[in-house]
Amino acid sequence: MSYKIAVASSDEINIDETFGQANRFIIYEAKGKNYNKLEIRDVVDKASQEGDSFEVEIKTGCEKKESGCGIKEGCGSGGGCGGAVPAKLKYLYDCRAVVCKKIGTQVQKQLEKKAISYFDVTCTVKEALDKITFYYNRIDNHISLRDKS
Amino acid sequence: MALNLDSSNVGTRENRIGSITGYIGSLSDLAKQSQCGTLKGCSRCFSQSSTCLSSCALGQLSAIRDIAIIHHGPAGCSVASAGTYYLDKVMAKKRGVTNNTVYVGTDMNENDTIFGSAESLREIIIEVNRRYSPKAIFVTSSCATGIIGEDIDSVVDDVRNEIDVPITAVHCEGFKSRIWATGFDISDHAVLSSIVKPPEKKRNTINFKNFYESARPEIIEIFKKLDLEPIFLYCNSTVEELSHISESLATTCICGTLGNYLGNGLEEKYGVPYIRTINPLGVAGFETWLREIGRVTERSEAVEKYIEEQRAIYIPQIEAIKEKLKGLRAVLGMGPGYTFEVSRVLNELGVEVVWALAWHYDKKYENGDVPPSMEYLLENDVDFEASVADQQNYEVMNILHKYQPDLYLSRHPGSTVWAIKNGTPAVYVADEYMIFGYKHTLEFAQAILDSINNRSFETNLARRVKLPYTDWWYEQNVDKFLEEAGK
Amino acid sequence: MAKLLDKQRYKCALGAMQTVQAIDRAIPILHSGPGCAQKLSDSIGSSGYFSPNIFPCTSINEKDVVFGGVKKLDTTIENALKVIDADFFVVLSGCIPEIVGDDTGDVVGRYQDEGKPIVYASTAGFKGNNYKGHEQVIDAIVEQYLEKSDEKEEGLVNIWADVPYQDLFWLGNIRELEKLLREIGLKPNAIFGYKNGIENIKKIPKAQFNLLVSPWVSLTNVKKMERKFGTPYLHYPTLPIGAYETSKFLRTVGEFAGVDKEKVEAVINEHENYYYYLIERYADMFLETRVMAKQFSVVADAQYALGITKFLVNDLGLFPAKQFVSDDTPKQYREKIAEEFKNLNYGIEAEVSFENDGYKIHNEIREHDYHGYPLILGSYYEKEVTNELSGHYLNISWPVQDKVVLDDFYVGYTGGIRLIEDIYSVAVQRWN
Repeated sequence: MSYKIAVASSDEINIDETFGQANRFIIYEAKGKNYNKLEIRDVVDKASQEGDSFEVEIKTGCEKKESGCGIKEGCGSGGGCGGAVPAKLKYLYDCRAVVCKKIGTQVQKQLEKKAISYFDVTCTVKEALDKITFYYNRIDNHISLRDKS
Repeated sequence: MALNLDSSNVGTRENRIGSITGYIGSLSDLAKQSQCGTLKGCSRCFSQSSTCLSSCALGQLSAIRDIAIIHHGPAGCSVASAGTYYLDKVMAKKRGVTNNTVYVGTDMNENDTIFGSAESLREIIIEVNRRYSPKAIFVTSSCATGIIGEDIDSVVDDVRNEIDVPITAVHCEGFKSRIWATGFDISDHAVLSSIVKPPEKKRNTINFKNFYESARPEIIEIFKKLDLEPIFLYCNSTVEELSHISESLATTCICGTLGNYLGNGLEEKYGVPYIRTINPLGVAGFETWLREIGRVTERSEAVEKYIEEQRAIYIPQIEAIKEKLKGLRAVLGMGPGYTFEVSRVLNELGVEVVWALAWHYDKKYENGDVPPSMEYLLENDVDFEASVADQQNYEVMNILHKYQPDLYLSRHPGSTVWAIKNGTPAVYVADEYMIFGYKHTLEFAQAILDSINNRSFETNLARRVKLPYTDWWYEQNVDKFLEEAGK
Repeated sequence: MAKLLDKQRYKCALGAMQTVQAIDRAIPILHSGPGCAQKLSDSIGSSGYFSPNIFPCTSINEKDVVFGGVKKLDTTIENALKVIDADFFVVLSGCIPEIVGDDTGDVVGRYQDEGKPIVYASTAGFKGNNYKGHEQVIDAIVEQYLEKSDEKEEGLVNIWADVPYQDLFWLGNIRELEKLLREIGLKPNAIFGYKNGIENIKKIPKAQFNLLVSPWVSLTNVKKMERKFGTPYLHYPTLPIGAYETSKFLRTVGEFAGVDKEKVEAVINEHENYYYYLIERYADMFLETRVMAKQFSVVADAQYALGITKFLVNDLGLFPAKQFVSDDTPKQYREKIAEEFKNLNYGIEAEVSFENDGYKIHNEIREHDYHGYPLILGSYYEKEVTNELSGHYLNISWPVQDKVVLDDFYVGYTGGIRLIEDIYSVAVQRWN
């Protein structure tokens, strides 16, 4: 059975955008251990065509500052009161997983509600897709993750 | 949202109702952001250990009488079986019944992680059924079985025709959620999907979800006056009893976190109303809760009469003790089902809450509402510093060190000791009925007073021990390790 | 292969976090799920300087499963070093990192290179039980933290015994063993217990020899230390409980250490005098009880099953029914341990079963004719079955619910007296 993975990448090489920054997602179709690029999905464009308004990067009082974990990303959940966040999300509902550099908790929850996994990672698109498809392929086929061969 | 009872998998609490485990700010801000949908949840880049969802799930299920739990995983996962054995025996003895529930492990080893062990699991299920003839069987997974792709659903489906009692797979992969309270939902899901039957007739019973039924006799008394009979869940429940809970007039719970999945499930599937008030803790909580039960079961008159009688006895005593508690400052750390409830009671008793930590926070309960406990505080203009800390002791210690409150209240094992080492008197709100109704509210106030008035134990200890954190840590802001997720 | 663990009597290898906890000012850092520490802890002396709910933990989630958790482990270690005031850190990896292949050693190695007092042990739950995990932790210390010492300290003896916390009496036992060794003029060095921390760890390679008081646990450790440090070892398989075994123990240790025989005999004499002063005063009670048969069974790990069997037979003159060793003793040690059960006074031989299936153990106990009210010493699981048989029950092995122990012990002369007190405190509650 095939499934789709949405990836936030400006150059299609590195996972370099946060969920909030990404206006378009590269959609890959995966089956077993293989995957290929299906399309580039411009979610902002789609949203505006359908009249879904949503504001990008509305601050919620959370400035960048030093933390014990390195520099904090500006955190805003990407929506004012009224819950605009899901606007771009709903164009990803057909995906099994979303991959981006960072992803806000609000968005995570929205995704989880739809049983979509999310992976906030900083690596190449290839590495991410290899690892994710490896994982799903193993688990779906009831094969242990133990033996990497 | 709709519950899907056909699947053995429950979505994690994080995904269904949007829980978070990291937040620091004030109560009003938390509520505002929660209602706006703008609440930012944060993760930590440093954390201390907390709880596994399987402990919550199996702790609940294993309290049911005469059932079997088969925990498929390494011996550490099923180690709770030892505590369960003890608890089941002593709880049954207290109630004057017997409980022959068995909780076994499968002692999964290295080989199993490579080749799987579905066949062994199958044999184990058959053998447990042969040895003990349980009334229901729950087969549960662990982190290890999850990531080796063990197909427990198929094994369970496969043996179902060889076993003549309900058998169901219970998914307990700990890595799937940081919200351990999801385990409560998992247990409710298992009960709803495998044991509860559609109603045949309505009965004047009320489902009462709790932990260890310590207030059972007095609740039976209260409800007798209302011509209602409580069914306590799941401690000492029988499978037969559970199969009929759809026939009750209503479902209520001592703790929202514990009960909301079952309550909503029964309401959604069988039309059993779920009492969604603030919890019956403290005066306001108890009265609000009881009046709602009266309304839902059409017994308002009897409820008012009862309240009037009890008020006459207890309110003067509570008022008297309030005088002595005035001006005390408290910090508390509990699960979300209790933090905001206990904060309200403290406020009622005149104790100032300077900081409240909730181990996690459910933005919306199952039916989509903001938790009633919080709504109540906001309506009554009660505000204080609040954080969501998932049992992060180092954050608690930092707060205690900075605020030096008169009192720390906690509800989780192993947490109070750290407060007293700091020299702060601690009250362990262990029993879920410790603040229930007028009588226990009075007892609770007295317990606080007694703790404050004799601080010998904590001062003696605090003088002799060193705290385990560096001076560096005490100088940091409490949110040092909160990593805000980028948008 | 997965097997039915009915009434389980041990934890998994990650339970070795309690081994670390028993070392003063040492703390485990767990590369595991968020709830492992809580599950593996008991409220039996756990709220020490560190307690399980403050153990740093990577709290592995699904992302870590797919992408590996080494980065999280790195920040957890880095910050643990800043936040926690400890002398020694032991990283313990659980099931998930082991299965998905996180290189824990690589991450920890970088901190070791910086000179931080940190080691790591692979304690995935499926690797074995907490007895094995305990060995893994000691192994990690020996392998990664200690170097061979050219300087040996005369009379310095490392003491190794059974698993802290799994053994309810571990603290008292260690202290009593230390005391006995001191009395015969040796300098005991144990790494577990009160004030036994990093300084004692550092002394390990300087010891004259390793003394292992356990049927099998840590045998691999002392062998490794023999290879790495050239430290010889004395393996004394029986936990010495009561006068008979303790005197034998002191003579054996004294001889191995080259202590003057007269000195050892003087110590023994002093202890035996007092011991038999007590026994003499209570002998009527032991002899004239109407409620205890001569036969007994112990259900415990190899240490207590063997130690108590020898005590009850050789000191108190009771007779062994079947004994049950429930610690999943590795197969290669079983024969030798079974031999020890046959080495009793008057040619008495005790039958022993290496069994951890509680269902089978209980059926065997039910089926045996103890010729009267039996004495069963075991875990909490044995309480009900002993009641069924109107027997006397004492909770001496894990899980423990019937006894609170702060620093009580069963080892040595005094320990034997304590065990007698406990047994007869139960027996006197009935007349006939």
